[in-house]
Amino acid sequence: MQIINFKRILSLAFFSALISSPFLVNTTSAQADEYAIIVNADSQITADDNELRNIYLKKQTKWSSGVEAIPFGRATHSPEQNAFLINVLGMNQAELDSYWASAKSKSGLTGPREVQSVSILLRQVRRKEGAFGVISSSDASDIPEGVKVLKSF
Amino acid sequence: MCLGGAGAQAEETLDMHALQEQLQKAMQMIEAQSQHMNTLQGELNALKSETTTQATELSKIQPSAADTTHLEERVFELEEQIFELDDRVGSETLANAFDANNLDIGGFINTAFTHVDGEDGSAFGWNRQNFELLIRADLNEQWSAFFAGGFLREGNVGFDDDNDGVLNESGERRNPDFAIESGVPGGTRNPQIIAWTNYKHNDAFNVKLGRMITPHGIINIEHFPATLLDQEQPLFLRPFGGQTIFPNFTTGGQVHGQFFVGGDTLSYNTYIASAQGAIEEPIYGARLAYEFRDKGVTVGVNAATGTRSEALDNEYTLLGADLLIDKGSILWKNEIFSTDEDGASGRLGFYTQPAYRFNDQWIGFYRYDFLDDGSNASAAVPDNAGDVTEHMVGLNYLPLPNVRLRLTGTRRHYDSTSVFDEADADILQFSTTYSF
Repeated sequence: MQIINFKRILSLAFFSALISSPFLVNTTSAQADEYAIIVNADSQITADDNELRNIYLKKQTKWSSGVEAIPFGRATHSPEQNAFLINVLGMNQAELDSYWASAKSKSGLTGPREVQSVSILLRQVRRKEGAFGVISSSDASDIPEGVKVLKSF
Repeated sequence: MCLGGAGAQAEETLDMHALQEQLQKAMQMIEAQSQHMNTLQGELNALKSETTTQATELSKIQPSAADTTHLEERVFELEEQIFELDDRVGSETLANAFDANNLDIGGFINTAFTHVDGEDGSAFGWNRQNFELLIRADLNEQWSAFFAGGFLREGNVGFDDDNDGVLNESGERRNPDFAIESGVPGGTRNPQIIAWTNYKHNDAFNVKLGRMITPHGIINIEHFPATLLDQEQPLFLRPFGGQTIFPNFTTGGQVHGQFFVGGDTLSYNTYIASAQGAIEEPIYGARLAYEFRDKGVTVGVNAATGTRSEALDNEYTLLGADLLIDKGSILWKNEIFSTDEDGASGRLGFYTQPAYRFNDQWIGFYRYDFLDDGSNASAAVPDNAGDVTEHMVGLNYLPLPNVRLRLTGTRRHYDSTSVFDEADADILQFSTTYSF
């Protein structure tokens, strides 16, 4: 019984220590504005990185404005997708793969549709009110009517 | 002579007039030609101007290099899509969902080879060969359904000290053995693992009905081996005496949702359900979890009360906490659960499992695991089974994100009791999971 009590105390102390772990520090990455998040120009979307992250990972299914969210990804390992993962999601490709593997097993959720072509992405965002995607700043300099840049990074 | 000179002068005068008239005519002709030339020059200039305008207009309708690039990009993607569609469909018919807007099908194959070295013997074999099929169907944005069915051929590590063919009788710990399910062809059973429908009012309010994973802790919610570092669940989730510390799956109703607080997430699950062995007896449970996103920390608290088994008619109350740290190279899972049993001794189980991601393909981990199954707390129960402790080290290798190879080594220790001596067992396991 004494052994059990000791283990109970030990386990509780251990969990308490973990909660206050000092090594959990924030890490941020800084880059020039080389990429842009685009959304439908008619939408009232004003999302920050947290909301973009939650929507891309399908934790959040509507924008805070109430519009149904439709996230689009870019081709795996493309410069745009890599920049989005690092700067907005705060993940690398392996972590994202692991996240979707877990989501598939738990509830059958799959990742956003990948769009390789910039012009197809622009057309999709122009047509769908809740859509968003990432493009390079050079492509953002010539976006068509009906699409606007939400933020650059 | 004088008359002759005057005549000659008159003739010269006449010639001069004629010449002047001719000169005047010539000048008129030159002027006319000059005017004609000017007219022609004007027409020429007009033609030149028109040509320039046309050339300018022509240059406007010619595509720029950027337009050409975009056009090529689109054509390339469309060609790729057509090719992929053709490659997948060929001349065969398409499979259509009856009414679902979206139908996703996947699954995984799970294999394990295990060697156990016990006090009185050893055992080894391909003790796990499972295939599980996962299907999700969405009727619309609000209604969805998820199904997981298994084709399972497996035998967990057990002990049969008296060699009577029955594993894990009270206190057995020395002679390892496996038991593939009996009574079914090839030892394969086909359980319904998950089958639920979900109504999403919004992200904060969902209602789920059916058979579902009991929403407690970390590993039980993750549950499937595609993302687990080790195939063997923690001790408190493995059947001991026929029951785990809480049922891995329950059938009933669940209300769940999440709220977003800045970058953080607050999620909740509440359920009224029943365990497989007690259909008429409800279990009430809840989980509350908060994710500190920037720190990669998720803290959860869990509680439940109800009846696990109609046969044993034992009510229990469960309390538990979990802590997940998932930040950069660190992946650290911790859970602790304790029960208060009606008619039996309380149970306690906990583990801590720190892991380190060396890179995208290699992950190393250690797990300390403890279980007090409650059978040894009373002097009135002399044949108590004793506490169990495990130390596990393991390595995961992912050649592809969907393929996981694992090698684990475990030292299991059974504490001594008034009836049974302490015993150790060393377990070496190689396992693979291929998910799609």
